[in-house]
Amino acid sequence: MSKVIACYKWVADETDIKVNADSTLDISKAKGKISDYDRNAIEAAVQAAGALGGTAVALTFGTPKAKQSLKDALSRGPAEACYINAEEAARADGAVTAKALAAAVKKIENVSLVVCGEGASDTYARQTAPRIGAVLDWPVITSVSSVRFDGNALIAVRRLEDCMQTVKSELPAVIAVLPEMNSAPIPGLKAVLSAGKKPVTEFKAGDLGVDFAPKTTVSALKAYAMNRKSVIFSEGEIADKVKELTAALRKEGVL
Amino acid sequence: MSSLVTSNTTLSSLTDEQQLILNNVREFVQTEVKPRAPQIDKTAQFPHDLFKRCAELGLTGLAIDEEYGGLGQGVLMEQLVMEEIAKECPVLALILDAHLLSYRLINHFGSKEQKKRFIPPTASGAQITAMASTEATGSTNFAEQQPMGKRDGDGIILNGTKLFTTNSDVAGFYIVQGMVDGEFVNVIVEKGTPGLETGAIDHKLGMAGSSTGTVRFKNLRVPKENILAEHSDVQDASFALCFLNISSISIGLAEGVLEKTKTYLLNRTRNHKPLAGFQVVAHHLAKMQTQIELAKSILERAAKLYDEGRPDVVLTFMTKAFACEMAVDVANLCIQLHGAAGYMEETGIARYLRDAKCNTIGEISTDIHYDYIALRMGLPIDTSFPLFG
Repeated sequence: MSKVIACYKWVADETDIKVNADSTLDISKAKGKISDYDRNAIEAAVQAAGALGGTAVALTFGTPKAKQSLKDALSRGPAEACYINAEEAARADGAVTAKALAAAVKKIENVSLVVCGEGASDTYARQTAPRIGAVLDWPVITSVSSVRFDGNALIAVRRLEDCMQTVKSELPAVIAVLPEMNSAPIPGLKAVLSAGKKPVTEFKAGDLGVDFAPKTTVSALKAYAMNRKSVIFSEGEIADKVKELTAALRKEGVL
Repeated sequence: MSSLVTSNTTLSSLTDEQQLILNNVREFVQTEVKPRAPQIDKTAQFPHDLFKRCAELGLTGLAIDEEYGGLGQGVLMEQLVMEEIAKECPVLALILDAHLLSYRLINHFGSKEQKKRFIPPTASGAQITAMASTEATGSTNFAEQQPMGKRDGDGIILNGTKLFTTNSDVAGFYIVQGMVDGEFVNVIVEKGTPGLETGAIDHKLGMAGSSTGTVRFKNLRVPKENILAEHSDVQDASFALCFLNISSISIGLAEGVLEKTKTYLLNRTRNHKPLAGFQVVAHHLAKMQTQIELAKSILERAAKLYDEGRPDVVLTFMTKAFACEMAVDVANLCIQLHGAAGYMEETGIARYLRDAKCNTIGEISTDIHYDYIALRMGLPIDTSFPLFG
């Protein structure tokens, strides 16, 4: 039976993040959560597994803290979960994350589809799906708003900037889904209570034969500030004020 | 969402699954309940859509034994869920409370057959349930009530009227309490039974949407299969659990309105300073938070005693008396702190005070609770309490 993998990231809940006086971020008190769009990815994987007659598997790459995400992920429908437990995940860039996830996909075997969220709630780098596809040498379809299957082929509708594009690909493939893909329902209480009974496979960093050294480093992480200039155009006629306003906006690069 | 440490203290004793359940309930409340709450208040229409969602999520069977299709979660967990719902929509929590109250009576007084027949649809939410108890005279003193029926062979013929019944016109079945031939009885009356009528829905100060109304019985025959075991001891711990649910609703309500008030006062400025920064305002907020935490502490203790199998009924009465009065005080002060904005229905603050008032009266009023507590303290007050003697 083929497997459909839902990749998800355990991120800090942005509602708990505080901005310090120097604009640095305090995430020490932030609780974890499954990245918002990854909930859509999990639901999409469960639906795809149902359509393909396969099994949905939740897969995450994270620090030991991410272990607490497994029951949450499993309560959303996957039959099993895989967890790459690595401290290196804290410093991982898109390339490392994709290599780790791709290595796990290879170990899981018989995978027909990998589903990722379009981007993570914290970085929204949109790197994971394309890079997993590159590592596995599988076709990649991003910005997916709906999907259906025709035998061993996947037909996806992509929402692009100015059009909807329908593409067809043979399986196996990697897709990145938009939140409009599904409603990612809130799990029922019964599903939550039975999640702990589902199988979980844990991979250690050393099991995957992956170089975890990131090629990029984060030098600073700061909240962006919106400083109002509080300019008031109070002199002259209305037409003059509008001209002044538009000129000022052009000068700022807004228009 | 509050970032206070105290909010996490209670939750630290929960399992991963229970924490996850609470997270999901919170998400349900914020995304589905919160947007509907003002509309329910305005139209006073029973929220069938939200009750259905509660059933789908498993909330209607949260505390019910797994044997009967429930989830078997403890009393404390039920309180925490009630609290979460009441933060945004106290009336939805009240509807669930009334629904679960019927379950408690069947679970306590019912035979194995009655439990098998009536509890599973309660747990799944396939049927909404209600308890019909109050009459025009007698109130909590059932012995003073008019006889509501008489024995007829192995059944009972009911004739009478029950007032202020929550879920009155939406229930699939009712637990009816009252006096029959000088004895206190609990019977199950199913919707569609000849002789059952529901009256108009009461126009209440608050808790709009809970379909509180009159239920009438005209020569309604209750078969023996629907008569629960005779029991004159209504002060049992199972029944008193409803007082904890009402307490949780009041606590959640207070938390909800305080959080909204805090946000408002952090953003509303005077002399370019947030109002919440003025000491007099800050002290009000701090005192209200303290009152809420006190109520949560006594509730948690009472709930844990139930979960440990050694319920303390007096503590349950104390919890309801304190928590429900506290919520009225908090909601009232929150309106004051909002100024004119708080008095306007559009800001959604006034609703909390109207809803809060229900719980100092509903089920049993605060004064009756204090009577009972005084009695247990050995004070020489009127002891004519057939119900709680």
